[in-house]
Amino acid sequence: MFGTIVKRILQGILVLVLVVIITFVVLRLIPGDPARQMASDGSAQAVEEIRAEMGLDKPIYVQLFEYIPKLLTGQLGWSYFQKAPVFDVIVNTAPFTYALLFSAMILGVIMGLIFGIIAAVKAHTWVDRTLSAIAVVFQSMPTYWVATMLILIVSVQWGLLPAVGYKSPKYLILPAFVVSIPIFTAVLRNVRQNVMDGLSQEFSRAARARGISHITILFKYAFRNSLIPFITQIGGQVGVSLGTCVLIESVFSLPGMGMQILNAVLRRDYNLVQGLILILAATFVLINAIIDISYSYLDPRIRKAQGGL
Amino acid sequence: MNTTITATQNDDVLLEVKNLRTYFKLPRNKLVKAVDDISFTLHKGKVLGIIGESGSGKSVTSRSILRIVEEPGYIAGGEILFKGVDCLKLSEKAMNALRGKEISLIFQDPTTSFNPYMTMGQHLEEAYRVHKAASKDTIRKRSLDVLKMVGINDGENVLPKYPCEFSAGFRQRIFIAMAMIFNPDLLIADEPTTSLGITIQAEIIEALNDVKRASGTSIIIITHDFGVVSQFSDDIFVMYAGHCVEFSPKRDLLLSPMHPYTVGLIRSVPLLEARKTRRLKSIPGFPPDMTALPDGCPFAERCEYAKDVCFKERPELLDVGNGRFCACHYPLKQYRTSDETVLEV
Amino acid sequence: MESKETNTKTLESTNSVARPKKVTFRSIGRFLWENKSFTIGLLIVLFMLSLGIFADYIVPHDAYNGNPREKLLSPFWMKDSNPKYVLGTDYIGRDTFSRICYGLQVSIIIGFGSVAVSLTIALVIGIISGLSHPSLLDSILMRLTDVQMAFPFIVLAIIILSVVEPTIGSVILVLGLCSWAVRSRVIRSSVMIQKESDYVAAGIALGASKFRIAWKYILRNLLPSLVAAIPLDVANAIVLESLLSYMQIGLKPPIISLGSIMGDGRNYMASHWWMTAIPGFVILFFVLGLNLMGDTLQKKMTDVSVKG
Ligand SMILES: Nc1ncnc2c1ncn2[C@@H]1O[C@H](COP(=O)(O)OP(=O)(O)OP(=O)(O)O)[C@@H](O)[C@H]1O
Ligand code: SF4
Ligand SMILES: [Mg+2]
Repeated sequence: MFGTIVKRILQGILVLVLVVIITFVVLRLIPGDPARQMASDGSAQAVEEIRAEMGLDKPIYVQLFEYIPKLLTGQLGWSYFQKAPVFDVIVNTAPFTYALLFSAMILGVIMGLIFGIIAAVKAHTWVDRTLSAIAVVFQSMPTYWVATMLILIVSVQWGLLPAVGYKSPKYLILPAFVVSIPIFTAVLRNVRQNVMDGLSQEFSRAARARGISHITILFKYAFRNSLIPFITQIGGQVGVSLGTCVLIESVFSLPGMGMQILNAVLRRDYNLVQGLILILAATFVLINAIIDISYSYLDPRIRKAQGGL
Repeated sequence: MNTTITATQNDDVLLEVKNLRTYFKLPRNKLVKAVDDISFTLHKGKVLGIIGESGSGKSVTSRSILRIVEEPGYIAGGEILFKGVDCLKLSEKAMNALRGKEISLIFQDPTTSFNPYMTMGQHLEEAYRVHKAASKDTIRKRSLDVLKMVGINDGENVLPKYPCEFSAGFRQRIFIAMAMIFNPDLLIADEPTTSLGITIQAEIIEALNDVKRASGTSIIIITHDFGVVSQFSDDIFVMYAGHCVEFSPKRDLLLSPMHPYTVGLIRSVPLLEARKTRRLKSIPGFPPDMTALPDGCPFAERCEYAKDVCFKERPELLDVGNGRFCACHYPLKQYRTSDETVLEV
Repeated sequence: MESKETNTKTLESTNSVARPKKVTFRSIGRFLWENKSFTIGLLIVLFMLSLGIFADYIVPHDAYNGNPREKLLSPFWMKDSNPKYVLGTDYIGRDTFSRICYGLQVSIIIGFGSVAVSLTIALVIGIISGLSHPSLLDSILMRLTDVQMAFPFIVLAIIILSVVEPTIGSVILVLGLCSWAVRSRVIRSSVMIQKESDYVAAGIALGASKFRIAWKYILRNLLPSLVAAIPLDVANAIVLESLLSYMQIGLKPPIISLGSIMGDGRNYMASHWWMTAIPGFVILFFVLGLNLMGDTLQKKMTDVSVKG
């Protein structure tokens, strides 16, 4: 048990190290020189000075060997365009992204759960068919397009919600709704399928034969048994949704990590890109590690096989 | 059909199934008559064996009795008189009060019939929440008692564990214990041994025997293995393609089967092959396509005694005396199984 | 007698692993009739495919050069529309319908092209790691898939597309490189299951080499599920491509993409909303059709694997 957790954590760290190295190397292979963009007068000498200051004149592997130890001590470096430590930029922008991700996940998961269970209970009736049709249409809508159309209709035409920027949590409603759509459809389909499978399992049938109520069978038998595939899927959704957040932030001009990262790549702000990618990847890796570890608590079969904790 | 197997002494009757029909609606307007017009009677404290090949409708019969046939299946007609009351006319609520309390069902595969996320103790006590409130102590005591009944003496260790921690045979014994928790009047065991190894099979049969001795419950045991029914059933009911082909007291049926299908089944038993695979393979051919049953005798294709009329007219289940019933145009009056066959069983 | 029957049974079940059913017009017709959502999806997809593939013969106007005097026209259902331009014109008077046809053409090429790339990568990595399962190689490959999944797609795409010039070829590569991980996991686990199965064991016992096994048994058995995955993956790729163009990271003019048609409309959104809405609906319908097909195929696949 303990061994599994340690192994999982080590795997996660390895993945992050790979992410750092790949980002590091790819960024420096990109044509385009931050020093040149930054040098005020554009003179060769100014560029060279900035290059030296940033350490860009050394070979990539040397830069990498200098960067990694710093990273290990928590130093993410200096953002040349924000004129602030990368750490500060992240601290200032991450809350928006996490608030967006979190509220969208909650909204999507709750809606998906409710309608997924309804669809499973009403399987093969018009209710189920309608829900499945809605799910497949929602799933087919490009999120950035939905975001644009919602801004047009809800904000511009109806004036109901603010469109862009961030001044109060009200500004998160539309973006969170947009990010939640793919989560909603994926959860709905997953829950529907797994609850239906659970209901047709022999143990559900056996429970019915013992007189146990439909509602108990639905939740304590069918849903309980679909929990693991459901949670696995949420882990995958975190990754997809982080990507959607990055994108939707830029459509709604939310000052989150997504906006920062797009600008940072275009301006070759290496340290900032590096730091933001690390944080985004770490979020994904951490959530998935937690999910993997939680399996063994959720499933007595795995728990017993690993000798308990 | 007009002939039904009726009880001789009515007060003694626990369950009487009359002309039960359970159909499944399939796509393209196909209809599977999984159970088509079957009738039988079970007396108090007796054991009825139902035997037939895979797909003959045994499980559907047992689910029909509990009214838990799933979509797209439905009970198309008939009567199921349990203690004189027609279950098919009961409200869903009244029916639910019977399930698990007065009629219990044991499933074929004990590895899938438990909820993997509930401990054995939770399984056992769950029924109390549905059927009658009781103190934790009472429930615990009763749980340990029923476990003892099936030969599990260290119940304290069993209750807090999860199904995955037990072997299949052990789980099946716990399942039987669970079925007995309210001392039901009727226990239906749907192929309780089919998925288990041979030695374990004997243990389970033994456990069922113990349960019967201790509680006097009537049992319907469903199987496709004569070895199982012959050991402790009183009457045997032979099913083929959703029909009853023969119903008879055990001894008579085993010694002088009348229906050619029964003969085929009995003949197949002592063969090592049939034992090993637990399937009856010696009857040539396969069971008919349930979506397109022939007009005549459903067994005609495979019957060595079949004549023209067999392909045209369906034989009715007729009373042939001595409490025996047979659905065949040419019932075998003279056939005798060799004594060893029966004994070996 | 008995043993003979048993033998034929086992033989049959071994063969049936990769034996396709006989396909007749009748069986196709019946399939289409019984899976109406698939049929609807297929009709939508065929319609979109023909618009894209035969764009050269269909387009009524020059898609690349417009008539500035007829710019910003409305589509047919609105008042100030011009019957010459069914879906109106853009800000420099180019016919929206013609542009959409060429946009579809690009979507189709990139959609299928990038799926070919990602499926190939997924197959190679999935089969190698599945076959070598408990091994260092397998662990390394799995960490690589982790890395791909941990990277937010959009960031990866921007980074790569700022290294390489965004052309149709490079966009295909980017999309392919950004979406193989999930599929390779699925392939790996199904290879691992098949490795344990009887017929592969029999192949090994008969002395077949690993490569031969991968080719002859495993790939052949993976094929149906891969085919079933294609529509969903293509749908995904089409959306991602349009996204890149919309954000002006992807294809550059004069190449027309549905995403850039939408992007062109963005500046006129308040007054000419249809310029953004119409290409979005086109993507929506195309993707919907692909999803409807893919869902049915995937469902058939799981049904088959549950039964077998
Ligand atoms: N859910 C269902 N949908 C459609 N048809 C069904 C369904 N369940 C049962 N049937 C039909 O009912 C027939 C009888 O099934 P049943 O399960 O009662 O057979 P059985 O005698 O119990 O066989 P086995 O020995 O394999 O358990 C089957 O041949 C099948 O055609
Ligand atoms: S009715 Fe005819 S075919 Fe049917 S079992 Fe009797 S003899 Fe055989
Ligand atoms: Mg059965």
